[in-house]
Amino acid sequence: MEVEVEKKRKDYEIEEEFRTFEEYETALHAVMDISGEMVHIIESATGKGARALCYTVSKGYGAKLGMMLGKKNGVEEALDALNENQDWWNINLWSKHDEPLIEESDGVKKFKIVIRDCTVRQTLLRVNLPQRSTMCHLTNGYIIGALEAMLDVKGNIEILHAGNNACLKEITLTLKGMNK
Amino acid sequence: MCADVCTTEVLEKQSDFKPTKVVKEENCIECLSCLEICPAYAIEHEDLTPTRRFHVESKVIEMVKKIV
Repeated sequence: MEVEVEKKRKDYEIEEEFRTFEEYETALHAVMDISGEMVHIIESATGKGARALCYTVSKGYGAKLGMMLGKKNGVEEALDALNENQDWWNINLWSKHDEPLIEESDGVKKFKIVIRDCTVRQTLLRVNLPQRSTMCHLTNGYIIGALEAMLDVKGNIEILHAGNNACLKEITLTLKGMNK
Repeated sequence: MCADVCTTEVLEKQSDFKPTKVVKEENCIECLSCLEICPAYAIEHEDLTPTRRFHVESKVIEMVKKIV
């Protein structure tokens, strides 16, 4: 039995070794196509409810990562940890030249983020779906889920602008137990 | 057109059909919406950080590179 398992493991390792970039690329594109198609179908079946569905699903996914990364002391630290520990989204704090990066008043933090690398945007471009649509709520949920878990706050996110190379979003974080 | 799509107020419309002016370059997030919408291909970004285009197959990218 052990010999058989060992043989299988070796076979798998050999297979891994010989897997080419093209094979990985094909697999990635298949996942992108399927997920795009899936979201599109959910959207046509449930209407705007699809957005809430995508948001909730990815919020849970983000929260898992956030819990794994642990509590952080501030927004900058949380975003740095998020960027370092995943490769699908590149998130940076942004503000206009003469404005502060984070506005804080009465326990409410407001700030804008620029998302450059975004796996959702890439999928939308591939499957020819518009930006700011249902799939963008996957990104929104993921970021909010992770930030909520790391900073112990309630979060809200709004898409301000969606471009081909970068998107601008506004996040509002409220301390738990406080009214907005 | 480009000034209308720019949410970070980098571009400013001019009166009397004068070309649009770049007024707050430091606010640019490099979303490239202005570049896409410009019918005259008049916009150019310096020191641009392009995102990874992994939605396009590498074979297609190679073909395009050869053509360009």
